[in-house]
Amino acid sequence: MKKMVSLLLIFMLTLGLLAGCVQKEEATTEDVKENKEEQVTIALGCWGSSPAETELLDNQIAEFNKTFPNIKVEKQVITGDYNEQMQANIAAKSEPDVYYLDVYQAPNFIERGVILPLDEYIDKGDLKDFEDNLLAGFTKDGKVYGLPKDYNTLALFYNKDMFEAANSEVPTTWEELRAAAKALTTSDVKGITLSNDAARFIPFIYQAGGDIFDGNSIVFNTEEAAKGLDFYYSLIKDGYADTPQNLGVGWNGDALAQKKSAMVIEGGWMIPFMADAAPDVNYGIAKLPKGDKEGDLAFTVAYVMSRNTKHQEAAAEVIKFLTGKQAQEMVAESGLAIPTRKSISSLYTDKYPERKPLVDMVEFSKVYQFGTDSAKILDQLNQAGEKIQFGNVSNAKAALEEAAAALN
Amino acid sequence: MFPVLYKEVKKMATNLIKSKTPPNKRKIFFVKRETLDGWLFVLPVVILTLVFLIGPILVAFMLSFKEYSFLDAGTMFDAKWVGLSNYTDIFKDKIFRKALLNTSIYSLGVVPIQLTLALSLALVVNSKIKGKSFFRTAYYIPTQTSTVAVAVMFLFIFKSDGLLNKFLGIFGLPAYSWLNDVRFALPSIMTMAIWSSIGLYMVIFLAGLQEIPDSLYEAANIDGANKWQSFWFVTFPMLKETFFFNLVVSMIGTFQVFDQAYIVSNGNGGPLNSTMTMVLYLYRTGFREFKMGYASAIAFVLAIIIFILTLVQKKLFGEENQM
Repeated sequence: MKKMVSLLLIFMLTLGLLAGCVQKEEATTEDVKENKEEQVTIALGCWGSSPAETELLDNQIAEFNKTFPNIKVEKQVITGDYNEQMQANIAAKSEPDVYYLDVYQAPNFIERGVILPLDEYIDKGDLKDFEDNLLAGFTKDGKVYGLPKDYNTLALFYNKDMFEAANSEVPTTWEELRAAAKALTTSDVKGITLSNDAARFIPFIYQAGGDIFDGNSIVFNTEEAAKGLDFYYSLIKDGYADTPQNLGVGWNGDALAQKKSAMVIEGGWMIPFMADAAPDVNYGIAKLPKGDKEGDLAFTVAYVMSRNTKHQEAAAEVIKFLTGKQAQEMVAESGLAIPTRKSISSLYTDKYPERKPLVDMVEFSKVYQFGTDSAKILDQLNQAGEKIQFGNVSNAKAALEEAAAALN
Repeated sequence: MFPVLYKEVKKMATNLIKSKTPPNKRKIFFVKRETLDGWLFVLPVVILTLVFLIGPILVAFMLSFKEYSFLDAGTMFDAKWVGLSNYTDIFKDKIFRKALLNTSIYSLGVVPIQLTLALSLALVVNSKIKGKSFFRTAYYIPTQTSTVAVAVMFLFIFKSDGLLNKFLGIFGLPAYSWLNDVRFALPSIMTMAIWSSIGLYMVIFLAGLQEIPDSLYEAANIDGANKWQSFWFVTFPMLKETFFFNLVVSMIGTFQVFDQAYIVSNGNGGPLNSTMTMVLYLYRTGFREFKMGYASAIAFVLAIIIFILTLVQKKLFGEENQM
C-alpha cells in the first residue's frame, strides 16, 4: 500500500513538472472574428535601446492605447542577441505578435513564411507615402510584409575644423574626395577612415554603376563594381586613408571622435554617439561624394506580423499606428531616427537642417539586403575587400571573381 | 559539478539494480522500498539530465540528418530528412576545413604551452617562497574573469596603438596591427587563451603536487638524488594522473574555443577566416545562414574529433588510470 502511495506521488510530481513545460493552449480559431468590445493583448517585440529611444516607443504606445482602448500593447524587450533570441522564440512559436525586423533579415523571414503579408489590412494609397526604396525591402511579389519604422543612410561625416585648417572644400565627387583626403592627411591624421566592411564600400560599387544582387543572383563580378572597389582601396594604398584597426580604434566613429581622421562614412547613429563621446569635435554631415552616379546603402527596420498571431487585425492596427503619421511625427520631433514617410520628412529636415544629407541620400539608396543568402554574400565581399587590402590579389576584379566563384 | 553528480547517480543506480532480493520475504518490501526512495531522491537530477542534456543531444543528433532552420513553419520533427548529406557536405566545405585547421593549430599551440607554464607556476607556488598565497591568488584570478572581458582587454593590448606596440616602440620597432593580420590574429587569440586559463590548470597541478608524500622526496634525497632527478623521477611520475586530466580538459577546451574568436573578429572569423574556429563556424551556419541541421552535423563531427583525440591521449598517457 505504502509503495502504491509513493509510486503515485512520484507519478504526480513528474506530471506536475511536465505540465509546467507544456504551453497553455489559448482560445484558438474563434478569435479570428474578433469581438470589437473584447480586450486583446498584442505583444510587441523590440530590442533594448537608449533611454531616449525607449521613451519614444513608450510614448507611441501610450498614444496608441488612447486611440484603441480595446487593444493593449505589451512591450517585450528582447535582451541579448536579438537575431538569435528571436529565432529561438520562432522555433518555439512563442514570438511576439508584432516585432522589429531588420531589412537584412527580411528575405529569409518572407521566404520561409515567418511573417504575414499585410496587404488586406493596409490602404494602398497610404503606402505611397513611404519611401519607395525602403518599402521595397519588405515587399515580395507585390505583397507588403512590413512597414518601415525608421531608417538611416550613409553619409560623409567630416571634421569642420580640420577642413578649415587645410582650407579644403567638402568633396562632392570622387576626384574631390581624393584631393580632400590628400590635403587633410598629416603625420597623425588620415584624410578618411575606410573600414574593411562591405556595408561601407558597397555604395562605391553602386556609384560606379555596379550592383551586388539583382533579386535572383549575384552580379558583382563586373568591371563597374571592380572600379568602385578599386577606388575605395586606392585611397588606403595611397596613404590618404586607413582602416579603423590600423588607426587603433574600434570603428569609424571612434576615428572621428578621437580626431584620427578628418572624414568617415557612417549613418545617423553617429549623431548621439558624437554628442556623447566627443562633444568638442565640430563636425558636419555631407552627402556621399558621387562617382559616375549617386549611390548609397539604406538601413531600415520595419514592424512585421508573426504568422502565429491570433489577432491579425489588432496586430495590423498596431503596425499601422506605429508607422502612421502621428507616430512618425513623434519620431521626427524626437530627432532620434529619420521618419520613413515622405510627408513627414520635411518636418524632420526643418527641425534638424544639418541632417538633411542623410534624408537626401535615400532616393539614391538600395536597402542593405541581398536575398536569402545575404550572410554568405557579405562574407565573401568582406573577404574580397581584405584580399585587396592585404595584396592577396592583383586588383578588385580578381577579388570579386574569386568571391563570385566561391558563391556559385 | 554536473559530471560529479551524474557519476554519483550512476553509481547509486547500479548499486540499486545490483542489490539482490534477499531470501527473507519480510525483507523484500524493505529493499524495494529502499530502491524506490533511491529513485525518488535522484529523480530531480535524472529529470534535469534527461531534459537539459540527453534530450538536446538526441534532438541535435536527429537534426544533423535533417534540413531545418528555426524559421521553418513546421517543428523540427516534421523537417525533411536528408540522410547523410549534411555530413558529406561538411567534408566538401572549404570554410569548415579552414576552421578545422585553425582550431587544430590553436589547440596544438595552446595546450603544450599552457600546461608547461601551469606546471612551472604550480612548482613555484608550491615551493617555500615568500607570499605564495598572493601568487596563487594572482595567477588564479584571470580564470575567474569572463572571457569576453579578457578579450576586450587584449584588444587594447594588441590594437595598433596599444600596449604591445608602445612597448615594441621603445626598441624602435614599428607599430603593427596584430589582430588585423592573417598571420598574427590567431596567435594573438592563443596568447589570450593561455593567459586566461593558466590559473585553472595551475591549481589542479598544485593539488596533485601536494598529494605527493614527502617521504618519497626524503627517500630520493637519501639515495643521493639532486633536485632535477627528484623532479624527474618522483614528481613527474606521481603527477601523471593529474597531467592526463589537465591534458584532456585543456584539449577539449581548446577545441571548443568560441568567445575570443567571436569578440576579436566581430563574429566574422576574419581577417580572411584566419580566426574562424569550428564552434564559431557552427554558430554562424546555424543562426546567420539558417542551417540548423548542418550546424548540428558540425557539432557531431567536432564531438567525434574530440572523442578520438581523448582516446588517443588515453592510450598515450593514461593507460594505468581510469579516466
